[in-house]
Amino acid sequence: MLGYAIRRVAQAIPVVFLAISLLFFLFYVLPGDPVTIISGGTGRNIPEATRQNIEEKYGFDDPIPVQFVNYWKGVLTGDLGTSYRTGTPVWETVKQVAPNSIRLALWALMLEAVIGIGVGLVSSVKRYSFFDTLVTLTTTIAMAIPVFVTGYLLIYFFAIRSFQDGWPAWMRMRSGGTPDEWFLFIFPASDDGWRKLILPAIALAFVQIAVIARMMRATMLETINTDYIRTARAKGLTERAVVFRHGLRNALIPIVTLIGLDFGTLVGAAVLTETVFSYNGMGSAIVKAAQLRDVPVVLGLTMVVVIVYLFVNLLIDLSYGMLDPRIRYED
Amino acid sequence: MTAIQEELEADAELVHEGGDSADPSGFADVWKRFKRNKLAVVGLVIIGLLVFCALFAPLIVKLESAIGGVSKLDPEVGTSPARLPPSAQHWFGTDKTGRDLFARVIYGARISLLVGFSSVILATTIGVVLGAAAGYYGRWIDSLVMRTTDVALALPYIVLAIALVVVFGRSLLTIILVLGALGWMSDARIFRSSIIQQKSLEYVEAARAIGCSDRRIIARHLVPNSIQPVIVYATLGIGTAILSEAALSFLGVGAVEPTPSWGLMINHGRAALRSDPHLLFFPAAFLAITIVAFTAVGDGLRDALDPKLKR
Amino acid sequence: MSTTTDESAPTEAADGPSPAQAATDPVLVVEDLRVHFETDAGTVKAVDGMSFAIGAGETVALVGESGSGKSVTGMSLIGLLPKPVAHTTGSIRWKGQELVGASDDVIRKVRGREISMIFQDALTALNPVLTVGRQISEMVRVHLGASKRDARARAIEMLEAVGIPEPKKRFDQYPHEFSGGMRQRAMIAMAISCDPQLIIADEPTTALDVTVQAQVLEVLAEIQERTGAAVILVTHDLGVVAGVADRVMVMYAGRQVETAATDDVFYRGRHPYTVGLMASVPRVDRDGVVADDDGTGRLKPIDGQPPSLLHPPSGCSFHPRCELRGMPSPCGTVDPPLLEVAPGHWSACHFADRLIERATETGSDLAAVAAAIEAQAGDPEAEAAANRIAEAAGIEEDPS
Repeated sequence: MLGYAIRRVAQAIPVVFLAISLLFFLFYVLPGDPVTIISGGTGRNIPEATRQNIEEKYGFDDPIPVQFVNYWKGVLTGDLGTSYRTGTPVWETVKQVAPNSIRLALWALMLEAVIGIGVGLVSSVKRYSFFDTLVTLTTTIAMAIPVFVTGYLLIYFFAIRSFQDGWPAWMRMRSGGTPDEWFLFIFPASDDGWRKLILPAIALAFVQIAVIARMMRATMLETINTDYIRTARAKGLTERAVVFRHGLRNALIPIVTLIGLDFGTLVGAAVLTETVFSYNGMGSAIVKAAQLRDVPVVLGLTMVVVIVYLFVNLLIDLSYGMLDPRIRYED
Repeated sequence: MTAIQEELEADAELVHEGGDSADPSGFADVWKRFKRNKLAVVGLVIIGLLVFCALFAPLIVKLESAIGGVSKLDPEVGTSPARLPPSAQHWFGTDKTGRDLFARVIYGARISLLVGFSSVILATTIGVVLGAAAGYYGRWIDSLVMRTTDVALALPYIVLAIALVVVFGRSLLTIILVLGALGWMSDARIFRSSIIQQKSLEYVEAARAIGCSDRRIIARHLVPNSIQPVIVYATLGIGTAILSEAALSFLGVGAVEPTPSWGLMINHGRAALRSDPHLLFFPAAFLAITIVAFTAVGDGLRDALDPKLKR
Repeated sequence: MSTTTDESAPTEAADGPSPAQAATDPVLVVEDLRVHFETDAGTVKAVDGMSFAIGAGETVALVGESGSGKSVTGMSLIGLLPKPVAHTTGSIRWKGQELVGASDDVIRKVRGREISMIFQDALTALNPVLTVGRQISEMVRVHLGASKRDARARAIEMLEAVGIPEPKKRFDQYPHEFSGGMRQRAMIAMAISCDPQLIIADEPTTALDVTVQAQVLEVLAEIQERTGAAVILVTHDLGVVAGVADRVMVMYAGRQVETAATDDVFYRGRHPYTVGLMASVPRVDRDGVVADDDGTGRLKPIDGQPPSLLHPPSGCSFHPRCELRGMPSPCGTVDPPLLEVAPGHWSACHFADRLIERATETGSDLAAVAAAIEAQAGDPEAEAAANRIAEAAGIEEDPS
């Protein structure tokens, strides 16, 4: 098992390296003058002296391969560079936004898991019932609705109309912003904080809830028709024991994998949700930085995203071995 | 129900309806099965309507209403007062610069479908070619293709898309190229698996035994038989591409004014959400319905092409 | 006994006893068991009127081709068929208690505890994510209320009883870590853990190598001896039957066509299907193979295909393939009832009696019997006899 883990980690490293290098070249090989950005944008005339200063300071006068090497040297010592725009070290930005993204992703995950698995399970047990057909139809549609549509719908009703039309206080949410204080890392510390968190979490989780519900239903149905379930019944176990102790354990394996993989994606891909809700996470930070050609920030944040993604994938792979004993021996 | 019963039933139904169950992937059978999925049929109708709107937009509304262009100084300004609510004259009201929203939304169909179809055609072509090479020839070609897709898939899609568009400039052509470049990877993987699966079947050996050249084998035999999952993915991919274009435009890194992109309209509508929600919700609704339609059709195709997966 | 109210071909109008009443010390009595599957294409009559009894400690083989209904019969005994689809009627009485239509609680208590089942493919029949030991001890805990420790001890005991080496170690292993034969034995261990009085074995050896087959059968026999349990062995492998069974029930198209002691079935078959079966398998117990008409010594398969269970043939379901359907015969219109043609030997054939006329050392010579029947075609006595049979059955022209 340990050997397997080490091998997987070793596989992941070159991927990170290649991925970030790819981005590096993308940004540096291109048109666009970083000096201009740093000094405040286009339309200004930059004195030659200032230009030379900046170039020297940031190393733009060095040939690209040298810049490349320097960059990676910096990364390995923990220096992700400084923002062109604000001059703050990228690492500071990461420290500020990364936890927020992780929190949002965790909440979305919890919603997905609980609602998705629950709905899927009930749907499979009551196959062909009204509930089931309703679920199948809604999930097919829900899976395809873009997150900003869901997001704005939620905002419109729960953050705007709820105030305008006087809905009960507990239903009124905030339409944007990020909770400032947190309790035990994931719980907002204030009422206001909760109201800022709920809508983005729901919007983010929305599509995946549908996906997971469908998958849960499908795997459950598949599992219920297997031979070993028939054996379990033949043993005289109660239907409950059959479904939960025998069926569910097997059915959950692919679902858990899916949820885990999702987390890795959520952290990075929450770009749209964060923008819609003005949530201060990595996604929106990357977008803003990309718009401003603030390369170090983009690279640094993306690297964090990629590492988190690969790390989570790795964890999932390893835990899969724990869940499904058949896998342990396949290496 | 046991597996035997299901197969009995499926075959019996097909025979009953006149299909030839000896060739379950024949067009007539596929169409029959597709028809059974009501949502997919609705989706198909919606797509039909959208294509109609896209092609015949100028017949429905005037271009200037959508784009503006009354004043040479500010090409965006429309002919009517800004921010009007829906009325008989302007079905969807007017946007922040006075353009007729209905017109813009109809023209938006053009943009979405254009980007959707072109980028998917591009992505699928690249994907099929590379996937076939990787699957058929194996070894270093295979490793190369797979490594590339691995690396590219490790990066978050949106981030890559944003980076590329920022770098190469904001135009529809760039967007199409970028989406095509990002989309070929899933197609390649799927096609490659399909090819690998088919490759080991006996008919390929038979073809080789009678002296068919590699290229002929691939083109005449492997491709038609492996193409099914790709068709499904391509359809679903159109939905994704439309979504991506809208997302990029929404984030301000996609289409440029005065292009009537739905994503762009949603972006404009944000500010007015409180007072004039229709500015956001009309384009949003069209976007959602379009994507749902493509997804439903893609799902329906998947179910129709492989009956065993149905239940 | 009246016919039932369905529209199929008329069945037993027998005045005589049914096999269900014949056994001496029955623990299981099945009467007129029918299992119909409702599909969109129609009603599939998988089991269409089975009646039999199993005595304590007996080994009864249930033999037939694929699709004959033998597995379905086995599974219906403990209600394992999917409920909304499978419609079970008739009577299944276990030690006097009626199981058809009984509440879930009642059936659950019988399953595993009194009647347990062994399945064909142990790899798919065992839960892959639970240890073997856990799956066995689960039964003991549920049915006998044992504590975790006691259940574990019992499970290890069972593993030992079926001849699995290092049972303590094996307790914590997963099914995929066992070899095929060991897995099957583990399944047997699971089945006997609560000392059931009836074990239904559904093709227990089909998925195994021949040598392993022998081992598994041996284990089964040992268990039987020790516990006195009865065994219903569902199989299509006649070799297994010959070595192990006391009695054999031959099934065709959902019905019993013949029931008798093993030797009688093998050497003195009284139904054309049985005779045909015995002639179509290679046998070591006679010179060469069956001597047929031209003495070529070839295996003789039965012509034709098993019938559709959706639309079974009118009259006797075997008649389209039967060599005896000479003229005159009611075979095409009247379903032959299962009658006792010799003590303990039942057959459902209009010509059961005639099948001993031309007996060879391996069974009847069907061709000769057929010739004899044909020779009597036009013989008014023969015709009258045929008509009498039809009358006694209460001729109801089958509409199909």
